[in-house]
Amino acid sequence: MFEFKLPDLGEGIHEGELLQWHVAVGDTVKEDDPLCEMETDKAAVTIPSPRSGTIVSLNAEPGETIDVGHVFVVIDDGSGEGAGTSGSPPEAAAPEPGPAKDAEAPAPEAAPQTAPAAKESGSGNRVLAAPATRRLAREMGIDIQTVSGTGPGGRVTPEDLKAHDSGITGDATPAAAVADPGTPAGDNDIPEVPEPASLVLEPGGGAGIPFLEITGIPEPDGPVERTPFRSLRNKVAVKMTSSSILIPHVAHMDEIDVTEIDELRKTYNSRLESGDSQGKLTLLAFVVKAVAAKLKAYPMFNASVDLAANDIVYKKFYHIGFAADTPRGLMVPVVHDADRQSLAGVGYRIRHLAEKARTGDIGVPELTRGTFTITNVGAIGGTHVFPIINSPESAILGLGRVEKKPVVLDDEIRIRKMLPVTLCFDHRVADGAQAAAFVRDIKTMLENSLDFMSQI
Amino acid sequence: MAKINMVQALNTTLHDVMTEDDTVLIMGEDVGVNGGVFRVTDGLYEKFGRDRVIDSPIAEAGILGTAIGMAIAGLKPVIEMQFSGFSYEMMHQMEGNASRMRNRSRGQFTVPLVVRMPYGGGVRALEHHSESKEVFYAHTAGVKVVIPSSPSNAGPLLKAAINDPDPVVFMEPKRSYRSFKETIQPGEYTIGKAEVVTPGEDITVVSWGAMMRDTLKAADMVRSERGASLEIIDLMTISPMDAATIIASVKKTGRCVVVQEAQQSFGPASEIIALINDQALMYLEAPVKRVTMYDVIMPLFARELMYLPSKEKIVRAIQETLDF
Amino acid sequence: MPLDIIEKFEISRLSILDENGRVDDALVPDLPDDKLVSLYEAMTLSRMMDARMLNLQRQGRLGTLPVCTGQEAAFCPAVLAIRDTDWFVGSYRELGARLMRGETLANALMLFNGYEEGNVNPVNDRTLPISIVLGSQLPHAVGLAYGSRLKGEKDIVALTIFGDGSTSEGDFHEGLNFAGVLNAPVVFLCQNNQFAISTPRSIQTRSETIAQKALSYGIHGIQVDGNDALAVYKATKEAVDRARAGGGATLIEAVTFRMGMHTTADDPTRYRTDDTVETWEKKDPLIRFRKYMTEKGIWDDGKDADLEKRIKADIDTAVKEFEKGVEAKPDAPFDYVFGTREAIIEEQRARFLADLEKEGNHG
Repeated sequence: MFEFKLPDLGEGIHEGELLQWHVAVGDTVKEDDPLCEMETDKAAVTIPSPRSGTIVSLNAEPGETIDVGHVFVVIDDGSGEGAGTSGSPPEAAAPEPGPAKDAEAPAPEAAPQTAPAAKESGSGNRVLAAPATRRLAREMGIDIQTVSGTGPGGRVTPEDLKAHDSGITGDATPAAAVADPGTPAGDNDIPEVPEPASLVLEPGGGAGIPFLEITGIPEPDGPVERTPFRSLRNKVAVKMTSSSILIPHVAHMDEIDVTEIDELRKTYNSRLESGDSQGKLTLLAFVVKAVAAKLKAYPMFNASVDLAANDIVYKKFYHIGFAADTPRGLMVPVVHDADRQSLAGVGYRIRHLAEKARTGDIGVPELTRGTFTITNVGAIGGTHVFPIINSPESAILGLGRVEKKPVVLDDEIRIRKMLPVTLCFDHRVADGAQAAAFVRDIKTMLENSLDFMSQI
Repeated sequence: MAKINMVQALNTTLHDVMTEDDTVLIMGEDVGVNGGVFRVTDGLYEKFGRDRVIDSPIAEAGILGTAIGMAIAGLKPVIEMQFSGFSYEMMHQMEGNASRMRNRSRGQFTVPLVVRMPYGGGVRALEHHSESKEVFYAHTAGVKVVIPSSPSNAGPLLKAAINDPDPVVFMEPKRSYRSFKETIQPGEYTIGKAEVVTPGEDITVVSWGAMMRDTLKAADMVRSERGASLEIIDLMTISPMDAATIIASVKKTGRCVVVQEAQQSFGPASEIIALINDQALMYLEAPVKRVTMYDVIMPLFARELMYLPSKEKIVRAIQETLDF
Repeated sequence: MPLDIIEKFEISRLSILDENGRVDDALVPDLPDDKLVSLYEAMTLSRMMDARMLNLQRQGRLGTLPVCTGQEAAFCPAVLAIRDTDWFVGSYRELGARLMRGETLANALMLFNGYEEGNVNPVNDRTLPISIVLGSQLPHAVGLAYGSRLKGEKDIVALTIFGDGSTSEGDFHEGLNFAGVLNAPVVFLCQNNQFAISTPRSIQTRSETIAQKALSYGIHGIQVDGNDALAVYKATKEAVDRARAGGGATLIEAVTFRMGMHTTADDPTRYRTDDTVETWEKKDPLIRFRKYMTEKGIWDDGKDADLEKRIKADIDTAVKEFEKGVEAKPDAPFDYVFGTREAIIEEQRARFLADLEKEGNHG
């Protein structure tokens, strides 16, 4: 039995109108005998029989429209029940399964095909992250949706992932000299500081450190609010804990008479065109310049301890970070090559970076590769501050509030503007005498404006 | 060794190739007695005669159509479209025949020929003389599109095109024809292979043709300004594109800028970005930027430099991509 | 300063065998009997295969198809006038000519069922595949003729076939012009079948004849009765001999008629009347050639019946064989993009094959 389906008679014809049958049920036909007249959008044509045999049924009336593919004639061609249909030109032989043997095609990139759909589609709000960071998250087994971003525009950065990773890892604050694959390496490449082994903070544990006991807190006896350690707070926590555990801190304190340098500062600022607030200098700029200048004589305060290599790495470049309190927490923007920039340039960079940190527009390159940090609580108050070293640096300078104080000068009591400073340093690389000398030299420089001018 | 410009490099190559291989034949408008309007075919007519250096009627379809026959018959025609702006007159021969004869005949007939054409802006030319339409040909399966960028690579690439088994559209950046000379640096130049001109770590910059000069200058500026390490790739073959070289580079740097003289949309830059999207997305630290002409009719020369990619635009794109 | 006539041109029309089978003895070409018989057989095969393919298309067993019934004398004799080593550069409405060049019935069945493999001539490597873009093959013929000559084959010619519609294309003019200036040994054979789909010859060109267009390019031109196999043979033979001897190219206009539709997607009743068709039925090239051979005593009804039977059997066999299935590698198109192996193509081939495995073969 042969079922004749209406073929596509033109190029892309979908139906035809039956005009006239040339045969009736029971007629005997030979192959190519005319069966009927059919009209399509393109032409009226005679359709010849594809088989020899007897007409079994005619499935349409003249005037009727037939769809292409519809069985409109059945012919008994002696081939038995349901033996065949028409309208299907011979098909190509089945393909060899699998890719061509000799195809030297590059292997398709695996990563994009193993879609992380389940992991990342949990929340309607997708977090922002560069694809490279998403790949890193996948490799680290972190659901990136659960990570809060500290990068520009709230983007998740590789550092965020590391901070998020369980336990303590080094290099957790944005200011750390973490090797960011996307960060341009400068001329001053230094050996990477390896991350200290992860410390597991769990109740009852001690992370292998003798005498260290970590316990849960007793059930609070009163109303509380619990907040998970998240995001920047978590990073600061990890960073500070590891720094204070791993680095033997020593603090050296002093007071600097900044009366003269402050006069100089005010004179400079008053000469700026009105409205050029960007050009105004802060005391911090003077301190940054003085520190950068003196670090060259005291390389132990511009160094890192490479535990893995058992080396002390003395850096020949002077990138001074300054701690900034931002709505999202502590950040340490870095004034790169502070020694090579003018005082005005440093002043401008400080303002500019502080503003970017405040608005969240600051980029990873501007938060990394610092070699020395200054933290300034003076704007708020307090005499001395005991800062924790911004690992893997070897020293940090804390500035207190400038206060007018009675000071004995030339055997007279005078009112001078005094800046309290504390140098915290890593006792592994430096000793107290060096610290005292370093601070003394900074003090001398800042107390004498001519001295300052000649050395920056 | 004396320094030569791109025209001299191409001319020398044609002299050499025609001496070595007597199936190589030149045909085009004013290519014989006149030596070509840019003098690329200078001296060939005198040396090889009118049978092999044919001054043709002004009929681009006739030139390519006849060359297709010659190629099937066993010659290696190197034909010239006087300017790429006139090559559209032969587009049906390219798309309809040259590109498909191998496929149509299941390999029985092939069309190894080279269509040379000067292209591109920056030379204060008339209308139709300044466009970069490499994508017209690159979008035709079966056609290879090659664009040299310097005297050093122009000769070897032309020779490779002549010896290639397929139709090759060889687009010559006329802005670079005489703008600089160099001592020819020997190098391996293969069709289908891009060249890493300068290796680097921080960002990949891909370009080709006349834009290579501006790209290299822009890269120098960024390098000295911020000490960044730039990897510069000269694409050289537009189609079939060397995805492997681009992808390997972008996987390393995580950042990429593509500089294309042609207008923005649907061009090779878009294709490069699509390839990166397919094969290196997860390595990206920043969106890939393109520096291109705008999607306008190429302006006459009073305005052209405003519209073409410039060193400054390239520098900005690189800086923004690094800072992202 | 007189107004002088500086050039005068004339165009000849050649006709040897009339509708009643009578010949002009003075013009009859020198063709041996066996050649006459084989020419008739070729024209009959063309006619019968054309009809059979039309039926197969109507039955859904072939795709869109151009038909050539009624034009057999315009193309078959031309092939008889060239050598196997000459170039044959056809269009798509010269089935019998292609079969004479060595293509098989399977070639035609494959091609019109959508397999490029049908374009591969199994025995002759100087027969180009069909050319669908009108007129674009004319410059190819010029280049082939010139190329073979430059390669040292001094006596090679190229024969190219096209229709009256093609003469409006730029490629026609550029091809003839290049043949003229290069003095290329080419024979341009125009099958003027009166229609370009629906557009009649009268509005295709204002020229009185197509043949006269040759004069603009400094090549020879002649019009012949395209339903007269002897005239087409003689005109082609003379043109081929002249070209071979270095005398340049010729444009032959063979006046004939497309009895069927342009392609199976076309309905000729929309643009021409039955009267016209009936007029041309009387001029059928096969009938008059059969009468001529019968008159000559080399043919009779018995032989004719035998021939038809033999051809029908051959076609039946070919169709049956073809419908068993075509050996066609699904990824063959990737093999013929470039002559070199390119990573970007191979990557896509691998993806294609993987997709094919996932989705099944929709051939």
